[in-house]
Amino acid sequence: MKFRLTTETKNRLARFRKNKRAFWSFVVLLVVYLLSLTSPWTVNDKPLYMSFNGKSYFPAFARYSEKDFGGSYDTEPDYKLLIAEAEECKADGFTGSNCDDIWAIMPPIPHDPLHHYLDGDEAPPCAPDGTHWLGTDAEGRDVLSRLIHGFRICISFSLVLTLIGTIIGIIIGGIQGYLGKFWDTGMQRIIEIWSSLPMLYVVILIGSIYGHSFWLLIIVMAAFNWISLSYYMRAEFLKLRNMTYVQSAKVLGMGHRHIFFKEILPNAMTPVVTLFPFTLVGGIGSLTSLDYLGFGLQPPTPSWGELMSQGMKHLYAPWISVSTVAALFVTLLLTTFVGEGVRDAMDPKSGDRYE
Amino acid sequence: MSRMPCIYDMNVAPVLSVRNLSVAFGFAKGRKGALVPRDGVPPLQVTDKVSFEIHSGEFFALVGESGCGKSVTAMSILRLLPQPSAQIVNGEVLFYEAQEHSASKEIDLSRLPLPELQKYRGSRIACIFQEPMQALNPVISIRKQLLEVFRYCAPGGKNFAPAEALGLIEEQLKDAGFTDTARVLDSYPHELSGGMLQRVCIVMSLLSRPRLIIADEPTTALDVTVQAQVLAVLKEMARKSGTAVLLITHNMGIVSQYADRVAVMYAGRIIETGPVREVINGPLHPYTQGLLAAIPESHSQMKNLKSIPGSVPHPRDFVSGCRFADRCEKCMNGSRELQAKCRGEVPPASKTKETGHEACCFDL
Repeated sequence: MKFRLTTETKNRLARFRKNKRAFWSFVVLLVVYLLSLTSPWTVNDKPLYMSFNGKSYFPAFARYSEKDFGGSYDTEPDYKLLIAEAEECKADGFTGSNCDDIWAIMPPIPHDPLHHYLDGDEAPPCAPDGTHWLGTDAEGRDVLSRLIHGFRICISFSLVLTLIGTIIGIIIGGIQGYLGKFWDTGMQRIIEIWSSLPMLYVVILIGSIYGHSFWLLIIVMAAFNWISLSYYMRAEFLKLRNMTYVQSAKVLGMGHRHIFFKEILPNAMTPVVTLFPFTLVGGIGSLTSLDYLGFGLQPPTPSWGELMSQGMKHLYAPWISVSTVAALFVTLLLTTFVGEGVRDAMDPKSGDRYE
Repeated sequence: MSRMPCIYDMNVAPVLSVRNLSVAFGFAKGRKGALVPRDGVPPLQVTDKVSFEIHSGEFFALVGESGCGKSVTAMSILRLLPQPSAQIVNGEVLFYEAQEHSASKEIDLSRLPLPELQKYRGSRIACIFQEPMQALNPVISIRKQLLEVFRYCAPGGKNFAPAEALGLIEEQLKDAGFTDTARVLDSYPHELSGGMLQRVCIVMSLLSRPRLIIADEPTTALDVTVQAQVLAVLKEMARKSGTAVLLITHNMGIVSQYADRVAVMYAGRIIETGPVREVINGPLHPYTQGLLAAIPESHSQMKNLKSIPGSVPHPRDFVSGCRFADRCEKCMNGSRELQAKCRGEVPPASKTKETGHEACCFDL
């Protein structure tokens, strides 16, 4: 059977689209995120295409060793240096086989987020100029490049975190509401104990033992992220399991899985969809604050929290903090706009008042 | 629509025979899964030795006030009772499976293991409930829900191609008075009116070609103007497929218009049963007489409606004698011996006529 949207879903999409602010926020966020997903290739200091002595290379997409370009080591060459040397060689008047013939297309933002650009005249942090549009941070790394990579990592992190949290929340809250009775009360007490664990301490503790990896951080944070959704799902399932259509499926001997996923869950999706953007905002906020405190992702991973803490330490270099705070502010604002739009689209009466 | 002749012929094969069925509430699971009275309070017996028989293709009505046990009786047929609180404590529910070239097979539903019973639910005995809005899943289209029931409940339903099954479903929808079947199939429950939904439910219940449909107040939640249409559809479709109907209602008007036979319940007991014409025109039991007298007539000049004094006793106040005695004029005005008899003994069913019209009263 072909996939069809239900009329109510169509109505909700139409209501969401009518909300200009939410719709355009969503479009902007989506486009920027999709663009940022290309940042490993487009925001980097490796050429997208390089012709070296007549042969074609794609350094941004494949790894070459220095030996390929006449070097003596097996490490990856510094392409910028390579190009600069070739140009210098030509400028010095050498011709023919003495000089490498290089022609390259550099990415739109040709700065690696991890590279320390220390070849300038002054000590970092350097103010914005033609090369580094948003300046460099205290270690000479390009702020714009780090912002873009940080955005990609931060949003991806938050998306995965929210997705995992949502799935766990649906399953645990659903089981509570579906089974009811002892299971409901028992699990609720356990959840209350679990939710009173301070997440920050757990993150610090786990991080100090096992290190700060992307997936470990997601697992630890997801372990706390699902709790609020599970409350909503529990309530929905408790309500829906008493509906006649659920009970008739039960007395006909339909399986638990069928009743859980096919009969009840589609009716309980409203809190899931409504909470999703706000949980996303929460995820971005918590990753940034953990990074700010130094308990987040392993340095030197580009991250907004780390940039902010640098901005705090180097207040005389306002380009670091201002650009980071602005980026964070805009991102959170747009996501919240989307969230509000989704919430209003799911509930057509939310704007109505009785007077 | 022609009225079917009253059937009360012992030769007509019964579909369902309920014998001495008693249901009690207030059980709990004790240790080792044994049933014990909840909180040490003895369970309340809400229906007392209810017996009736439904014949093939018959429209049988069960009437009574709220709380008299008619829904409990009907739901206990398929054991749709809250577990473990409600239990069948006495009696049997015999369902007769039609078999070709031989006598029908007798199955006691009250003792069948649950997985076996689930094979009868929906496919041999179907139910129609009060609230059609709650009976259908709001996020699944009518087409999908009907197909699902067809696949799950209809005999050999899994062997049908979806297109074939849809053809059968559309035919049934047309029988139920829908003209634009394609639109109905594509819609979701909230897009249809209550009457339409109830007709969809009737179609759904008949998809499996059951032997019996239990309709638990199917028109109570509906607008008065569509009640007649829904019931007419139910009666006509059931007649066409030879399905018997057990209709539960408190509306005497519906009973007189649609049912072939009727049983009147009071305080957990059937007190009168018989062909509709006879019960309506010549009620035997004082309670039925009072009930029928309470129906206002359009041309009467009465200022006040007649009513039966008092109210239905709570199950914990049920007495062993006639439970209507306290409200019964005949008993009150009767002799001392009659009063003692009414309060002391259960009045037995007295067969008074060949048609099977009988009532449980000492003073007929």
